[in-house]
Amino acid sequence: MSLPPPAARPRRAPLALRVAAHEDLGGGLRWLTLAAPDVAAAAEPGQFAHVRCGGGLGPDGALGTRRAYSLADADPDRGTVSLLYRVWGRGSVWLSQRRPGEVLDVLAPLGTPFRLDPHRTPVFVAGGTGVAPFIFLARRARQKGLRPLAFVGARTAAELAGGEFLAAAGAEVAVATDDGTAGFAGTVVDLVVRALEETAAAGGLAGPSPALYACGPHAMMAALAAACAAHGWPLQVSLETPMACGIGICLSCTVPGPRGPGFYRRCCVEGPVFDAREVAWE
Amino acid sequence: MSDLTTRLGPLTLRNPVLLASGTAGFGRELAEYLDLAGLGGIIVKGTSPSPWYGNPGPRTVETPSGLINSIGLENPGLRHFLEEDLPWLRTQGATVIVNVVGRTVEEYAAVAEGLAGADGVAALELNISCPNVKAGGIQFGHDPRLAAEVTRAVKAACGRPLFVKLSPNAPDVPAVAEAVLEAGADGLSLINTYLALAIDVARLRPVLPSVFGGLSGPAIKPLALRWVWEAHARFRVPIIGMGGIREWSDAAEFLLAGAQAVAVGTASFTEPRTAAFVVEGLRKWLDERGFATVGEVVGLAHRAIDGEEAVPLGQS
Ligand SMILES: Cc1cc2nc3c(=O)[nH]c(=O)nc-3n(C[C@H](O)[C@H](O)[C@H](O)COP(=O)(O)OP(=O)(O)OC[C@H]3O[C@@H](n4cnc5c(N)ncnc54)[C@H](O)[C@@H]3O)c2cc1C
Ligand SMILES: Cc1cc2nc3c(=O)[nH]c(=O)nc-3n(C[C@H](O)[C@H](O)[C@H](O)COP(=O)(O)O)c2cc1C
Repeated sequence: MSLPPPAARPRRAPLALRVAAHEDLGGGLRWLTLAAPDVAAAAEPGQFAHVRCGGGLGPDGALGTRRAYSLADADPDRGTVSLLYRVWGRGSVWLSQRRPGEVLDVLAPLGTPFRLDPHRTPVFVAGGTGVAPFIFLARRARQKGLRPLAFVGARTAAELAGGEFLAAAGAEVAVATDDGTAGFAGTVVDLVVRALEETAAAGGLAGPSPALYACGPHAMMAALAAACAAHGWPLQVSLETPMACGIGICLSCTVPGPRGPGFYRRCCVEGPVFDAREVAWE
Repeated sequence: MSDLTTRLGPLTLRNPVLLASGTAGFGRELAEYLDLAGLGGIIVKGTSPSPWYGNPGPRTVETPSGLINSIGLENPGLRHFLEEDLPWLRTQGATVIVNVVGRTVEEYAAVAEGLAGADGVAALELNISCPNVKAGGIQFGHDPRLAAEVTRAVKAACGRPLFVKLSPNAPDVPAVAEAVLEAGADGLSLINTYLALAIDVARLRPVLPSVFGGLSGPAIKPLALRWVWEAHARFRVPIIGMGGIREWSDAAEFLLAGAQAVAVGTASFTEPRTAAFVVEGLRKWLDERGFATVGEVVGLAHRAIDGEEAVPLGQS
């Protein structure tokens, strides 16, 4: 009853990627660089890698689901991509023990990237490991002649390592810490809103008006989404909704839209980057 | 070369490896990673008469060797399936089995009726793990009488081969099996997920907003195998076996226990090519062991070591 099968076509597959370098950045953060020329050439900022981690009970010791990490950087010349992650639970603790030369099973690049507005000043707002995608995005923005501003929040100064990578990638960085041990004492949302309101009061940014891009804890992004809606600033957010498959088949990571059920979208395929107006924040 | 063709009563599949319902969507995503025409077929996501939106998140949580899910049967509905998904699946040369869900007997029958006239639907898999809104929310699959009623209605609405997918959470699983077979089911799908719980110690509450969810993955493989074994011993009907299959040897266990076909579910989430690897592994195994057909190994483990029949149902 069915039609004849189509001609063979190229298919995707999980990649075997060698660890090229692996650094401890302090504050529980690590920087993992993988040799992956094809991914480095194809990846866009905002996309992620889905990494098979050990630490589980399976016959091969693997965890039952992969762990998602934003592509924190991609270097097509060296053929590498990097991840910035916090050593936290089973998967990331296992990952933290991988040494250069070891090979990881990775699906990448996955997901829908940021859409960089070429006519506005990029303003990045990052909380915790949320800085990861902005290192890559800062590099891309500079390549396009834009001058990105980055606002980075952390609990304490020791956890701000990502900020240095952002500066190295060409962003002008301002920091906020909850405990006041570095930069502005308070939330990164207060810091960025105050900064943008002050520049607006002083006659606007030197360049074009801002476009905001955010990644971090849900409460941070919800507060920022409200502020952006009030000021009319465009905002794209990268969400880290818990995922299982990462390729759109399990429907674990669906994100409710503002108009209620029926507007769910998959964080792994239609996201992880969404226009903040497409997300129900409460 | 062994013949991988497998027969499940009125349904013939080119090989015994299917994609399990709800773990493969409608095929598009996995087609990026494997050739759907190289599998026995795809059992698509549970399909209801109109779209269902599913549960609030988080919807899954990983547990040791398993995954607990509470997706809530989110699906775009029958019409979308018939207009968008089925035609596309046919261009891929995929054998299509439709997983049917509903909240009332009428809803189940409406889906079956809609499928009756569609070209390219090889069989129906009736998912009776849905609450019956007209019977106080009790699951169809927990009550032999309700299960038989919905089976009869679906069979009357659509004559295609019908497999009823049992819930292991039913108080009396064999009674449900017997009831649906009497009501006209051509075979059984064994097994759906096990009701389970995970608690978030940091937040001092269940991880899933629905509290309980369904456990799948390697953790349930031995439990699922037991049901396949018992159903084969007792009923000798066509069986699609599933639960925790990750590699060919897991699938081989299900065939030896009495299943004519198997379905790969949660394993596709980690390795999207799993089902294709299972096909190749089974082919090699049958060749090496000198079995000419799949049928030769189905239920083979029941031949007890010294020619005695294995211990039948319910004795442990
Ligand atoms: C699209 C996407 C991108 C991501 N990008 C990054 C990234 O760039 N860097 C990164 O470090 N992580 C990132 N994550 C999170 C990452 O996928 C894992 O969830 C994280 O590494 C924890 O996995 P684990 O196995 O170590 O912990 P698990 O054992 O799975 O975690 C145990 C519990 O801790 C919670 N948890 C996990 N991490 C934290 C945390 N930092 N603070 C508080 N609670 C936590 C989890 O929700 C879970 O309930 C991303 C997730 C998604 C979906
Ligand atoms: C995320 C998820 C969604 C599922 N959705 C359905 C569904 O729509 N209909 C159904 O009959 N079974 C559904 N199942 C059950 C599977 O088809 C299968 O019976 C079960 O997961 C056991 O197999 P596994 O361990 O290989 O996953 C779902 C399972 C998972 C993990």
